[in-house]
Amino acid sequence: MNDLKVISEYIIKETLKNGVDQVDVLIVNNTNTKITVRLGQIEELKQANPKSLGIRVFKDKRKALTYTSDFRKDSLQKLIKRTVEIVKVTSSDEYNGLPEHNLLGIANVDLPQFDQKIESISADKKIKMLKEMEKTGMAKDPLITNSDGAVWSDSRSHVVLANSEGFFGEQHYTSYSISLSLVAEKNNVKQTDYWFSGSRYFDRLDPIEKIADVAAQRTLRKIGGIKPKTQKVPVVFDPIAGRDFLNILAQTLIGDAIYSKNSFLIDKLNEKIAVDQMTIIDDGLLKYGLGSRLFDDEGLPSRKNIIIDKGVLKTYLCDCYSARKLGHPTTGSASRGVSSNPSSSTSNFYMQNGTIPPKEIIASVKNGLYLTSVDWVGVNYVTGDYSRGATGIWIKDGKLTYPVQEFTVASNMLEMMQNISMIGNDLEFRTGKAAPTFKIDEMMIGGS
Amino acid sequence: MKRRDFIKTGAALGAGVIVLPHLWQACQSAKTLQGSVENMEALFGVTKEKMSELISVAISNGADRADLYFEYKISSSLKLEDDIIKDVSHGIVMGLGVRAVKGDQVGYAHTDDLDFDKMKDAAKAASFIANNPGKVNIAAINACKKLDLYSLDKLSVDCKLDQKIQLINQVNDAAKKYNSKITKATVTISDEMKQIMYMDSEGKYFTDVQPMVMMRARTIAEDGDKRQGGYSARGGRVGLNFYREPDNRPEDIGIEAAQIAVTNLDAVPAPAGPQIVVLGPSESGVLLHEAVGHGLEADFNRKGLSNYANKVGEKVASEHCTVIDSGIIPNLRGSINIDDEGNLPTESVLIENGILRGYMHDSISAKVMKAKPTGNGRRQSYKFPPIPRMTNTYMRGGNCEPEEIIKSVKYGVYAKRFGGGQVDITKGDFTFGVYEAYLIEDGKLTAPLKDVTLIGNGPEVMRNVTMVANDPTFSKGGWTCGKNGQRMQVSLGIPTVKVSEITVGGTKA
Repeated sequence: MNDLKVISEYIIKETLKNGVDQVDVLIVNNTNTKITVRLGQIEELKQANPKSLGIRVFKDKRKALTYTSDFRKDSLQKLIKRTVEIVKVTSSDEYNGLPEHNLLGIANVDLPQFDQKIESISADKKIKMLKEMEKTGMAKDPLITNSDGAVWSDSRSHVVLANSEGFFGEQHYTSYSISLSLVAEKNNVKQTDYWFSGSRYFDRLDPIEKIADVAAQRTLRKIGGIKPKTQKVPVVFDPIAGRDFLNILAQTLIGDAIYSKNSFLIDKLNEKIAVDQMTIIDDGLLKYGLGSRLFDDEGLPSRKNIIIDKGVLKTYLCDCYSARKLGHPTTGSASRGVSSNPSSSTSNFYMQNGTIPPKEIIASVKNGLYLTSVDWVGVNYVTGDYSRGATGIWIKDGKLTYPVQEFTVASNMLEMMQNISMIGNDLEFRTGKAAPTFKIDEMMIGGS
Repeated sequence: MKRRDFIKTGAALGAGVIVLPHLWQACQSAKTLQGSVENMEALFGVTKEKMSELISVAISNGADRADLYFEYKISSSLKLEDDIIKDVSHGIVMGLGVRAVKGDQVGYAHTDDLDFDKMKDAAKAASFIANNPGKVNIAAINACKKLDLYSLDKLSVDCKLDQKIQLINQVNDAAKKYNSKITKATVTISDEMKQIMYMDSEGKYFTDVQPMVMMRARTIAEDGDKRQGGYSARGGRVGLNFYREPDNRPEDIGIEAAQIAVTNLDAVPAPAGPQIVVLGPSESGVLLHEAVGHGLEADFNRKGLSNYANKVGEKVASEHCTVIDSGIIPNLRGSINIDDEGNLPTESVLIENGILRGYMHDSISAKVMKAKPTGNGRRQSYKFPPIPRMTNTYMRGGNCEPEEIIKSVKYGVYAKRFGGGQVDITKGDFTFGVYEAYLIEDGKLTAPLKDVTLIGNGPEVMRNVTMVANDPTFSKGGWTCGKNGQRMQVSLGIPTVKVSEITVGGTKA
């Protein structure tokens, strides 16, 4: 079976016929290309057209989920049979069920998501761009001795969501990304870093010269990195480190984390948890946003949610299940893959832009850290305890001086949010999460 | 995250008493279902002739060689939360991956539509890595030898859901009973059975059935306004009988997850800066995975990206360290009967008494570096080409008693359980996140410590290993390693080890 709408209608009809109360179907069909060029030669050329679908059913307030990549009719029939069988083993849960009918809908806005141009960009053109970008990056400095590759990827997605309450929505997206990783070497120590650009539209990608330049600068500035002393200092988060800070918030202010008690933000609704300057927003309708969409993965219209308003936690992000369980309104934030149940997640999630140029923030620090990247391990969501491996540049008398590496930064998320003292004016979206430069007055550095 | 290779357990996620024997008999044996070759060809709707035809197409533009990887994977999972069975899922994913190789260049395409024309389109797309069409040579088919490391009896995916529900209920009961401070438990059991069929232009052919099951428990303990989480997991390439063995029983899993949460309610801030660290047995093997393992995967070395490149024969660790990657340990999560390009898994000595001995290879790196394949060519699924990956990475045991090591430390950190780790293979700096740790004072374990990150440079930390105990242990947890966008099931192990200095990321000056 090929037509996604026909498949969704067939599955809804057949599952209802087999006695379930409610059903929804999510179908995703992608076309992907990925090309890697390394040292001027193609390393990998990859192409695929994967598809998959997920069926979620409810019966007597029990639920089950099945999924497959096999769309043949007899296979789907078997899967439907299995779905109806296994729903019997789960427990009845009063919070289960599709969204209430009046909540369903599609946002009535013009959201540019599909770039017609994707058809017309040839593989040769992509390869030429990658080769040029890598060559430009490697030519920036003789200390750049190796490359970990220039990578292109693009995809076209067709997503269909339909349910037995009569909702039918479909969206077509395109996305592109291009990146470059370089290696520099001095005194037998190698350093690596990268830069990238991503967009729904080819013409909105950064020029390859810029990506090459930033990748080279980021790699070169790590040369000669030393371990800083163990001490308490102010820490300036650059936009990349700031994105990690947002990742932690994104994991802990969602309804699922709250009812699972896997969050330090439990019982904090309407409390002042951060400084006045800090406002955190999730906007599912941001123009050109990589996280934008017209409806969420349960069929609720996307919207803009102000989550932390001038330091006060105003809302959690909730899908229908967590909303019912917590007695909290839904926020159009349901998200799932075909093989998982919906949970809540962010779309375009950002810290509102401040007014201070980043240079002034750095200039305000007498002795401290400019944090440029952090590892992903080392945060306890339950307590908010934060301890991350880090890389950065040391600030001395208001100026960036030498690179620092192989150390940790530690604090607690709640303390960090109360200790933000300056927010920059350099907000820029590269992914679905973005923060301007900001300063936290005190964190513990674990070094030598 | 890009280009930083990592490992994690499900630790970011979460006993019963009696096992009723009669339920265990209800599992079917997968051998009778899908094990035979004829069935495998029927499953994918192809014959050897058709497969040869596809390989010819993939190689036709002048590639050196080409291979086909068919996969059919059944997965299921159950989740218990708030004392009810909350979720059940069941999925089937199937497809074909076609690879054409020219030197060290790879053309790859995959399809989940197994119509012959669609498979041919994929073979054609893969062929474009080469552009010098010529005569096609395909060797006669020669079935590969393989090992027999996992029993296919009582496979979890074949067992009745009731049996698994009973198990997760037992985990939940054990956790809740352990202490009244446990206010929440989430228990999942997830399993899969992967059936694969491989053929290449050099005549290699094999099929394999790869089982996997993992049971995970996450708990929350609360006391006044203090709250902490705990986690435990057990599994591997095993059937459900595994959960009847000592240390793997549902109550073992539930109690362990509860214990950690309750203990950590009293956790104090960890020190910051360089400390003596004693790594407990089993999960501290994350150290080897990050500090040694990734840097010795041959792709990073043939490209000159690893800090271990061109260092075979050099001293890269203290003489106490012998580190091995072994894909041949029965039932472990990282073990394989055969790798994903037809090579036998091996027991590769990476570091022997501190000296670097060799790398882990896939077929491309073995050819380019003129080395013997080590059986480390693995792929997440038919959607990815194989690359060098670890299997089960461990350190051989030493001579001293674990207690001796702890007694030798006046002030330091004892690290026991880990959420994961990460490494920059270029410079060699790695981190790992500890969620169960204790202070060592005057040779004794004292206060539990809050979650903390340890950071170090691979070769430096390995040189700082000063004592190795006689208690090497493998972890049975759900380790999943990430590299180049591919997730891979692995395991790891280590004896109790003393490291004279690692930087500890605490908050206490």
